[in-house]
Amino acid sequence: MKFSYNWLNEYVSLPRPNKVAEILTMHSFEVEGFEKAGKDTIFSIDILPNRIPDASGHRGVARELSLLLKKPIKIPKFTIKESGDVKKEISVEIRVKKECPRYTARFMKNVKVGPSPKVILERLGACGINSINNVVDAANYVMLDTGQPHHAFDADLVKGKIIVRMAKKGEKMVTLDNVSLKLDDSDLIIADESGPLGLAGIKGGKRAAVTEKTKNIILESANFDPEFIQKTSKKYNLLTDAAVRFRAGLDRSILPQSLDEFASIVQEIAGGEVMRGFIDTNPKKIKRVLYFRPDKARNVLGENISNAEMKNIMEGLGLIIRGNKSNKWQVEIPGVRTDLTLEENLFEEVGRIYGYENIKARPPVISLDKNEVSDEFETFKKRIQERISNFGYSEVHGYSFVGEKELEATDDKKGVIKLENPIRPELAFLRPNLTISVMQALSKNLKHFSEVRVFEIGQVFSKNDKKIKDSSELEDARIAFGFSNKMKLRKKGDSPFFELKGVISSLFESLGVADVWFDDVPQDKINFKKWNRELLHPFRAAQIKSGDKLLGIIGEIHPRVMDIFEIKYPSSVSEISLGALFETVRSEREYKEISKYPAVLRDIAVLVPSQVRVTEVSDVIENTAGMLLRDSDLFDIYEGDEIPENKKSLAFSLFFESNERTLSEKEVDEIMQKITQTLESNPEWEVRK
Amino acid sequence: MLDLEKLLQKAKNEIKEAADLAKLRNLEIRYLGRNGELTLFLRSLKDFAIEERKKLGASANKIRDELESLIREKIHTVGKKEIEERLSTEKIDITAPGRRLPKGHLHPVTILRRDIEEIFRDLGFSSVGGPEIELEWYNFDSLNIPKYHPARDMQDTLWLKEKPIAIKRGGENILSRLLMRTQVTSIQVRFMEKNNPPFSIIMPGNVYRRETPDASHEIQFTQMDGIVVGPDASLANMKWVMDAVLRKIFGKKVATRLRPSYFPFTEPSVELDMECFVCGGKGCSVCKRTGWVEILPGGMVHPKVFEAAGMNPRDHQGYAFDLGIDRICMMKYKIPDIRLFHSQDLRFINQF
Repeated sequence: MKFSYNWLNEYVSLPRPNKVAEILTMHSFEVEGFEKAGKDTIFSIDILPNRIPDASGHRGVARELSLLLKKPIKIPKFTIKESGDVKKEISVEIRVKKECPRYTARFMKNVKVGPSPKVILERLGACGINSINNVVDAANYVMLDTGQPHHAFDADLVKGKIIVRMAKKGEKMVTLDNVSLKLDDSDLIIADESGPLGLAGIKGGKRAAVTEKTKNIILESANFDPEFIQKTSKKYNLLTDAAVRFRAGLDRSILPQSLDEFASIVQEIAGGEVMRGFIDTNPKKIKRVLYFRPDKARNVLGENISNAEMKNIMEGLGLIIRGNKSNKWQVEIPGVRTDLTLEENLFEEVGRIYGYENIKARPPVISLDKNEVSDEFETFKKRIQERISNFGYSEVHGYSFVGEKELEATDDKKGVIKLENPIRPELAFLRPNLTISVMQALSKNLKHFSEVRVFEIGQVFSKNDKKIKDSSELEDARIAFGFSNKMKLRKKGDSPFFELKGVISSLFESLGVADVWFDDVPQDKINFKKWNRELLHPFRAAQIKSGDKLLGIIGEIHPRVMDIFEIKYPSSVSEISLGALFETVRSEREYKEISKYPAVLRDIAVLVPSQVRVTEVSDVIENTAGMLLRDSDLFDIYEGDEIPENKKSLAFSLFFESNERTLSEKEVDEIMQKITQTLESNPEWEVRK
Repeated sequence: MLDLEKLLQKAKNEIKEAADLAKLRNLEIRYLGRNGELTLFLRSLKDFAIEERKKLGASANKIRDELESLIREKIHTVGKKEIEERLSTEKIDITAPGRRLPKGHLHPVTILRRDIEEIFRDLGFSSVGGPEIELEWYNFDSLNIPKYHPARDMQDTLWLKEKPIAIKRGGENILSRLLMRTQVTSIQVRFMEKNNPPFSIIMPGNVYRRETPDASHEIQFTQMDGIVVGPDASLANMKWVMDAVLRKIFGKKVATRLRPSYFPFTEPSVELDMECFVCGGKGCSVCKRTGWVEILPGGMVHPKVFEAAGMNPRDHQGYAFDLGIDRICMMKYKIPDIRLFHSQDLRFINQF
């Protein structure tokens, strides 16, 4: 909102503009800037929403400055010459008391509508308001002064009495600036007996507008429910100066006083006779008393402000204090401070006028033993991020929203959650899995890199038919990985699957996840739909399990899905539930003795049919070798030249070791003999010599 | 009989001339080996008289020792030379690139978020999360945001096309709509419903706004809220915590100012401004020529928020604040466009 330095200076003697700006910013509301305009300086002040009722006029800001500068405030007195009787001229009917808590009006005869005097034109101009005529300008002038908006009607164009009511559905109105509105029953209007005269608190109508021809006028000063102002002004996109103020909830006790100022100024600049008295639909006085505990105020602010100083501040704000000898004061609030409804509001008043910059920063007294909040899950996520980035994977953040295209390959379309009001169709759905996001990242980055390793940690969203108690049931924390390499695969049976499998195995090992194994993906889709099996190559995918528990999936991307995401090279992805993973992590670790005796190393190569899986062979070796086998590593898989067709060679390194003695060559030979025999008991398997 | 002096002279010459290891090994065998000349001579001494044997034996052994050390010395020199020659043929080009391990990078927002979490952890804060799909009740109602507040609008908040959820609050059954949380402040009441003070927590996470994205606006970004509740948690404490945190984030003492503000969920409400890091407070386009940037809104927890969590506001006090992680990240690393954070572009991420 704009404020004139000269106008404020008329009420309180001011220092230079930059000083005014600093004082207001530090104690009241932010001065966003100020600039010279002729002989005046115009402040742009961001009046906080709770301060609009008392400070959206020059008088309010002057009150604030008077207190902060410790200088007296001089408010001019307004006088009216009255004659006749208002009751003989108009009557007002309020049909909706809640929506219009108070309505006051005066009546003037024989005004001379014309241009405004220079001082008014200057001040309106400074605050960015166009001049219409002296009567309308006077209404705006009073608003800029007191914060209370006013309106004037051409009394000769009003049919019968003024009625405040809700509009009827379909009722029509033309605004002052010639916009036709079709109203509905949630719009609050000022009407007469023939129809709408204006949108209450927002915009006047054309029908009874004050023009050059006007002689007799009705002056309105009223109060409206902020909720209706907010809704209606938003609906018709009419955020007028009046609406901005009314939607904040103004003070209704100010009405007679501001109405008098309005009438007085009109009389001064447009002549005419003011009828004696005014219409008032609700003259009842409101008295608001709050209690205030100075000790509590000191404890909340954390600053030792004396009782006397707090009393000074509050009285400077126009509050009336009683019982300040006790530790619980009674504080009477002036009507204009509609924002002061709680003891805490008074703490704020004391704090800001005292000055937040004067409050000394104090280190908190922390009771370390009392803070028992567990943040293990957050720590766990952090550990994963650190490890996985050390394995060469970079972290991406995708949007939580996807479009139709990305959902094309999703198994469970029914479970996808849609936005009511997306900003665009490509971001209309909540992502049901994180694999989509890493596939997008692979696609984008393969344009710039020959090898891409990415991961993301984030929420995925889906619903099912179950009734839910909380929104948290609609989401799951996941981690997803993506790997892609432009280089050709070196040999038959090779797949980017294995890089990811290796990374995930290493990650799990470093986290201490127990019993991890990779199982075939089940063929039934029903129980597996939330994992979006359809995204993966049906014969190059696996479930990741710990014991019986499913942690996630891993696999090569399905060629059809690769087309959708425009990924041109074989790529693998994996997605794991962080919650499930967290539960399996064993935090306890225990030292196992390291053998003092030398280990014996033996290699063994087995020729088996191509379709035989590595685990089938390693299981036989491990189950036959007995307790002395400490470790076995597969170090080569070979298919091709020198090997019969449809066969492959698997080579393992076996480490034998005992904690009690040095093993003899002979006993290891015997174990190797046993392993060979067992392996070769399968007629299609052959140990290579 | 063997002329020992002659043999010594001959052997010495031959050792001198031997240029490679193979020849030296041959000489060693020829003179000193099991059937070597000197060995055979020594063996033949058993046929001599005792006096003669002693005399000849002593000089033969002396010559043997001498030859032995000569050959060993020569083998050492020649061997060293031979290795050096061989190694010189194995020269590599040390300017060829090293075999790198793939290097992963964390997202800059993650890096900053972790740093800030660490700073708060040192001050005794724990990190707490909450759902990103939120009930209107936690996101707005419980935070004392009026029913008709513009933030609840279809234009500002992303709402879900889902039925509202029935919940019970304050003994009343209400229907609460579902939305993408617009602030992590929504975690406040969720947390206080289940935990008793005193506590000090931070609440980091994604928040969503219905914005048209541009260089400084996004539909999705990261916030970190904090809340401390305890018998002495005061505004003066918050001021200290904020100053300490900013000093650690920016690595030096930063000038700040605390001024009044307004938020529905805090009373008193304040805004902490930091001296503009670009112009050093002189005024520039980043700080809109004020010399200050708004960085940390906060205040004392509003009694209505305690009430919403089922706590008696007369018994509790605390402070709450909010850090815009993305904005601080942009300032700290001089990132000009907020949309880079969700670009998934490794050319961006790999810089951190």
